[in-house]
Amino acid sequence: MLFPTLIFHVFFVVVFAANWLLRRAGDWRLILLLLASWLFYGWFDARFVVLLLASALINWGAGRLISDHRGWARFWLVLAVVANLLILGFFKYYGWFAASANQGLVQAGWHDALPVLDVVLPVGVSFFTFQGISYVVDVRQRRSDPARLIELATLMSFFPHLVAGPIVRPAHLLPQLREPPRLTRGVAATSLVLIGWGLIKKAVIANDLAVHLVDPVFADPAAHGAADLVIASYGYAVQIYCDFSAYTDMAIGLAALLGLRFPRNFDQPYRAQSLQDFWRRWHISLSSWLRDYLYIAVFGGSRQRLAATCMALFMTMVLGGLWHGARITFVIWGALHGAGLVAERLWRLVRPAALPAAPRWLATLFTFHVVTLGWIFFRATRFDEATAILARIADMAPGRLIATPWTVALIAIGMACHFGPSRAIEQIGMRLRALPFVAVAALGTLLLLLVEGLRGGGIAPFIYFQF
Amino acid sequence: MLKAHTMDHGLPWGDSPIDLPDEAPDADPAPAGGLGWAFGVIATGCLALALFNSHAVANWANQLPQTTATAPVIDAANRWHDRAGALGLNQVVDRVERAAAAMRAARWPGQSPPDQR
Repeated sequence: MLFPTLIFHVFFVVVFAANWLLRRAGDWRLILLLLASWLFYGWFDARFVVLLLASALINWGAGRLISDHRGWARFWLVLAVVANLLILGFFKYYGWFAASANQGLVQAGWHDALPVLDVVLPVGVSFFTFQGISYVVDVRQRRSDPARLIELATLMSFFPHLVAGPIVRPAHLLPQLREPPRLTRGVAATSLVLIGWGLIKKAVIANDLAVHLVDPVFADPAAHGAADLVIASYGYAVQIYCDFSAYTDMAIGLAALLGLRFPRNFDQPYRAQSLQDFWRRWHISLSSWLRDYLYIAVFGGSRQRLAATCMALFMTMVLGGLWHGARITFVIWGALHGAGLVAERLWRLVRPAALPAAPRWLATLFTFHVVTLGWIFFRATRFDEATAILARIADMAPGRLIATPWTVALIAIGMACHFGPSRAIEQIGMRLRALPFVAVAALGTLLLLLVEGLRGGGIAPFIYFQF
Repeated sequence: MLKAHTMDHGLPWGDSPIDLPDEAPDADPAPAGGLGWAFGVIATGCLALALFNSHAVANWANQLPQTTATAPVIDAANRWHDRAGALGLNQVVDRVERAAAAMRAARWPGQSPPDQR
């Protein structure tokens, strides 16, 4: 079930009404949200619900064991994290591992390839696995109380953030699940603005850029000229931002309409003046998850020797890249960001004090282009494809031009929203809450009609569903 | 014992994009309740969309598999789409669709149209 579809619209209206009818019914409201979330998830594939439930059970059991047997807490924690990683690893890397093993066997002279299971990657498996890991770690570190099974299952399954985040910390959501929900007029208005803005970004900007520019150019880069390749690279930078931030904007808005507050997940990332700044603005819930549970908890963070800190930073980003899938291009994307972050850290240490700071616009421009370079590797399916794109751009190669005034205008709009007021959503929400509901309904209807007319064809799944 | 050490505090105020500056939990006066207002917006919006966006209903229905159970639904959705068109209710979406098609078809000076590339 995709957010920008009629079926989800009907689903959400029913859940919204039932949620508020049950607002003082305690656990019955959680049961409703849980059943609704399973229906939402089962719409993709009913088997996924079993996996989700199994994952919740494992983490709930581990959480109980950790809190009840503090002497063995470390053991149970390691076991739970390993179980979570095995689930994630099996679904994400089994196909690659089996294909590689078979290829190796054939090269070694083995003629009969081993039978390979056709494993379907469950949508959003990474996100609920990360939720599970953060729960057991937080219980072990006493950052979160152990949850009841229904609370943890709701935390991990809650449909607005189930398939593509934001990753909500147990300590942030569990207390909200234990309280009766609350909805002010300002929250309702701001949520509607987030949902509407998300719809525009996904259904109009990201969809059209994908269909009319990025997908055809990246499918056959050798046929396209340097101008097309440059514009398509910028186009992908805008597409992935609009696609992913649209999902989380809608997730935050939908959760808020059900009385639950989610954290901010994007903060005008292409305004960043360094890669470090970029990662404080891009997919904030994942980057802070990687910082807390990988960079600090596993690799030791920055309170160690400089070389070890740099290695921790680099490895965190490489593993962050590998998390996206078993592809060399993802590893290179992660390594590029890791190397960039290390270079920035070292530069801050050796930079002569007398050297004037680069103008902000130059730092932003430079950071954006480093990030876009990374996106080329991220989007390309093969390493040689990415290098061919870069080589053709460097050679100013001639070829087809499919970028049109429309696609360039969409890129410009996608970039422009980074340089508007950073609290524009809040400000619009504050204006809307002063209007009567009929006026807001009329504005919302008009917006949806515009989106319906502007979007061409169907709605593609969100990019981050595949991770 | 456990409670004394926990940090189970919920999301800090201001960390969510829906946190408006004058609606903090301890705001005085307390912010106006929004449940009835939100119900009003959603219910009115749904009715308006049912009237003016028959495209969405028809698109959804036409993607359903053709079975004896779905045939009446598909038929009803398409009839409603035709009726709405006859009543002029589809004009907004139709006009935006035409404008969007024209914008998509626009080319740079000298650029080949899509069918000649």
